[in-house]
Amino acid sequence: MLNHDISRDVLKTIEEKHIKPKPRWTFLLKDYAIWILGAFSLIVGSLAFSVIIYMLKNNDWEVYRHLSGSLPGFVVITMPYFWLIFLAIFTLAVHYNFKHTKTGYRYRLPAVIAASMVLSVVLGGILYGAGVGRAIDDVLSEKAPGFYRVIVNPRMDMWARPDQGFLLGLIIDAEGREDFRLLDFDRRLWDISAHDAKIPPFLKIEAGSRIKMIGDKTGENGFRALIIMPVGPGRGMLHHPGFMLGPGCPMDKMAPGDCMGPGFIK
Amino acid sequence: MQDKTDQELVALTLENQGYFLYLLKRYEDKLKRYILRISNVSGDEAEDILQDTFVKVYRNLNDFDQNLKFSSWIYRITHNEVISHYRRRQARPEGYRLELSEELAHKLASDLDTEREIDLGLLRDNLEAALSNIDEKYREVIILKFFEGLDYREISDVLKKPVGTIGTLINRAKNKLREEIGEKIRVA
Repeated sequence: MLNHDISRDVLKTIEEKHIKPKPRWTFLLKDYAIWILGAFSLIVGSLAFSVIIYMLKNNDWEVYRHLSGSLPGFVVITMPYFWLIFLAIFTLAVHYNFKHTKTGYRYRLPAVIAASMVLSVVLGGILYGAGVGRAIDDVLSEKAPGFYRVIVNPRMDMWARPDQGFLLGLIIDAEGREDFRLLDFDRRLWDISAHDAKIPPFLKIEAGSRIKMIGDKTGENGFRALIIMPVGPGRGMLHHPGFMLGPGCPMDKMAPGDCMGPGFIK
Repeated sequence: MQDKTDQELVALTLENQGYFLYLLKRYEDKLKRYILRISNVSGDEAEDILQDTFVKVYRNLNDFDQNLKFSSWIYRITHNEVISHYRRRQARPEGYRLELSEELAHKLASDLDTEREIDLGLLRDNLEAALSNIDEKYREVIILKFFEGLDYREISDVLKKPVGTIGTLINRAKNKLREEIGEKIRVA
């Protein structure tokens, strides 16, 4: 057993078959690709985290009692699950890539996940501060409103229940801060009375403003607002040109064409 | 060439493949024994695996990370080549030829803290049997630690697992061995 010279046989095979060491650049390319993919995953995770901060910060905490019976119940129904899943996927992607670096195996899974989370939180916080979280939410809700409403932010529908006193939409025209007309999600026109409403001083009640209200339905197209707030996450949906088309659009003051385009809203 | 380090020989081999022979000679016997310890292959098969391993090492010389010990790297490739061998055969290794020298039996028994309890000859027989019975993941670390003489960091680099995990595996492996030995002595 094992009585011949393996080392010389191997060297002979290498010479006869002209085997050469693979060039260094092929290994470097693979290493760089893994690091770049890892960094990309970290950045995407951080972007997701910046949106999570934006959504949680603008989660209607001040009126949670109106929207849900209890705080825990409110938290459960309003968590930004889409972005949390997105963050989890890209955190795992960071872990996967890190594990495949040359010495990534030396670190335990919890340590890598924790480090990845901390980096995502820090970077996500910076991105949120720079307004990136809000911009992503705006763009996504404007460019893909259907997907946004169903998958990304289903809580928008909590504000599309006029019969239960919740209404969200775009102000079409306003006569002062007390009376105005609003186009809701379903492009239905409402006459709003806001004589008894609490309105934040910074909120402009004028054509193009995006607002949400708590109040009472007073008729087929009438709504009495008691609390008025600006629309936070999802406001891009009301910016979408298509939103202004349909039954709500051909109003007596403007032709359908005037309704189209972000220029009107701005 | 005896005074050259493995790293130096790797650098020389990349300039002139003839130097590779010195590296091969340095590891040939060690790795033959290692292959036979972690598998149940025949001598001929072990040679085939070793040849494939050495060719793979040569092909991947540029991937050798100077932060690692060359021995850890070459053990890792050997270990992976044994696994690949079994994958190709679609079989898992069964039955092992782990022969303990007196010195190794002493060392292992002392580490297991069972040395004083039983006769060394009996202990050696039982240790050999126990090593064949424990899980592969435990046997693997025991072989690397006690038979190949690697430290935790080197075992971590061979198996690509964190050092902490290696420590845990070795502790569990020792407990399993103690249980197995205890069982066998009770039966005897």
